[in-house]
Amino acid sequence: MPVLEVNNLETIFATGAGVVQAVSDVSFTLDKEESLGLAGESGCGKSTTAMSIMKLIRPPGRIADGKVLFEGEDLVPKTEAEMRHIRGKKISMVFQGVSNALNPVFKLGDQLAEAVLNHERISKDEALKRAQDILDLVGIDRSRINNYPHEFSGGMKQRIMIATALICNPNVVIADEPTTALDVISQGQVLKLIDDLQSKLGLSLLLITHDLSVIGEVCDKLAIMYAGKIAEYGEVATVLESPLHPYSEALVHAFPPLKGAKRRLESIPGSPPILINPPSGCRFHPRCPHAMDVCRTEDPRLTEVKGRKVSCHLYPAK
Amino acid sequence: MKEGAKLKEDSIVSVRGLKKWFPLKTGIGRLLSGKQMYVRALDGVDFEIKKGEVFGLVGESGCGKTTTGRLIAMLMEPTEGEIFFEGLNIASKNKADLKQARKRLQIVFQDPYEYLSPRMTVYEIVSEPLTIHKVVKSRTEKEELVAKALQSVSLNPRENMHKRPHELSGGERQRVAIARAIILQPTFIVADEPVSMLDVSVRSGIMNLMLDMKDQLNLTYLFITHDISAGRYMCDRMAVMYLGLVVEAASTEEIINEPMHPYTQALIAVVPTIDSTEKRYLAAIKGKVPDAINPPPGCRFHPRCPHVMDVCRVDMPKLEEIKHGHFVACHLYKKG
Repeated sequence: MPVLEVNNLETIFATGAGVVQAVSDVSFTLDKEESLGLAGESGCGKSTTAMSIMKLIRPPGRIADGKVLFEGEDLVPKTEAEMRHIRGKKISMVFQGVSNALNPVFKLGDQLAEAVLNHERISKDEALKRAQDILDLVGIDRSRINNYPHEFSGGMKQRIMIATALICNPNVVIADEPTTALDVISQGQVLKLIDDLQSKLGLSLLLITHDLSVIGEVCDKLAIMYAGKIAEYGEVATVLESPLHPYSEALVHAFPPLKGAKRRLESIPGSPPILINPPSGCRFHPRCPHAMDVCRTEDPRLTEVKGRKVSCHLYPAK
Repeated sequence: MKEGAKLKEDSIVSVRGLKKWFPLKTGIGRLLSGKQMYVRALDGVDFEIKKGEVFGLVGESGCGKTTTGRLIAMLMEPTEGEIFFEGLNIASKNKADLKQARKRLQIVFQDPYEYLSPRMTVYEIVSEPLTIHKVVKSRTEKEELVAKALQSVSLNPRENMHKRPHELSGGERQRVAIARAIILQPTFIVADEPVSMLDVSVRSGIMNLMLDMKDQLNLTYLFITHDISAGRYMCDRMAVMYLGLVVEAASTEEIINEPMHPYTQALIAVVPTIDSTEKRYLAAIKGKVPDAINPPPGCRFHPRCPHVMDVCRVDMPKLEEIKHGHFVACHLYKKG
């Protein structure tokens, strides 16, 4: 049984200008010890998907339909009080923008201990001991629990955020752009840490990023989202080496390679649609070089093609 | 650099011994010691940019790449050193000379959401340089030039001229910024992270546009980036900076395929790529960049360097040509 299963998730935001269909019919599974990358450009719904799993969608947004099964149990109908026992304890999240996530006036140890004391009835001393152990794990000297956030660099703060996420031994970690704000070398250090910890602790990881190359380094599976829907979903190597959906193909070819032959980069004409009035049929059809008549009227379903799932009329279901 | 002040034939920009120290205004150190302290953002940088090439400055935040770009674009004055642009020393303070140079040297910034005035229309933004430099005589001439500039960045002049920045997407804003930069027909453009705020699919369009325009308008670029893959796509040659100094400079392919300086080697090794989906060991170097107020003595990279020797702790290595066209500042490659 997968640890996390998202079925036909639909999240909408009822704004003054209309209803934004931010996430539409998104389904995927996350097995134990598996890492799945959720990729796409700004506004494609990847962060909203993560927030929906955590039930952190605030009005005017709401989950309109679908299930989020965690160890077989649906989280969508759960109350806020019930979710509080799950967040941080069973499923935890690493956010982007680390400098805002730590409170500048509290010592690091107190902030880490607070994360434990929210969920477990142990003494403050025990919690601080746990905080030190977790700092060891992420490669920060344990004596530094008495330091304040400003005494750490950006990369170290991101390690601390990972430590906070791990301190209650969660089964699933959702990391939303964990390295986007970091420099190349700190990014390398943090990615290596995530990779090491994932295998060491047997975590299931959902990594959200706009950067396909980060997913290539860390993840087993990859789902590419466009305009609130999954365009292509499969093993990382399969999708990155031979993308089938015209959007994922264009996205992969928009990344400049570091080595090997230099080729002219492709760009996608137009811009992503506004999701108040998404295009009829396939949401990518106005920008797609292969658009056919059927694409304008009929929404393609995610179907199994060549060892991965694709939602595109070029690959009809058998 | 007295007799060397003459420029090489084919170079458009030449930077010599460039330093920029920012004084710290307050701080306990200053109170205790009574000494003025400085952030040594740039601490003696030399390089040449050849006519018609794209020269890259790469490195992590705080390495001094943006400061270098701003000094060359005459947006601030250097503490020490010389910058020659088309034979003119623009580090000198002759205002009339600078105004002439400014016409031929333009800058494109990183964040198109921040630096285009929200109150101005696209027409006003793009035509402003013409007004400042008084190069047009009539309104029709101005309109023609603006329309031509917008066309060359693939924006429809009629549709876009009267829009304001909030009506444009990020990619369109960056196109407006490029149109403004080229309208005075410059020879040289400093592009400071021009694509790093943009989404991937838009990013490649802007990079292609910049490369096409370079050929059409005979431009030379200084391309500043932290993204080495983007740097490889754009640049003919690159200089890698670390803590206010250039540690290596060579052709882009040599920097990426045969990096010599241990810092460049580490940097290239950790760049995530989509070329290989094999999990590589992200062999990150340890530690972080030291602060630029009290840089380490000797080689600035020595506290993190896997090949550190005794000499590295005391003696700062100079940037020397180790192979033809490949400059490295490292004691590992001492000549002789």
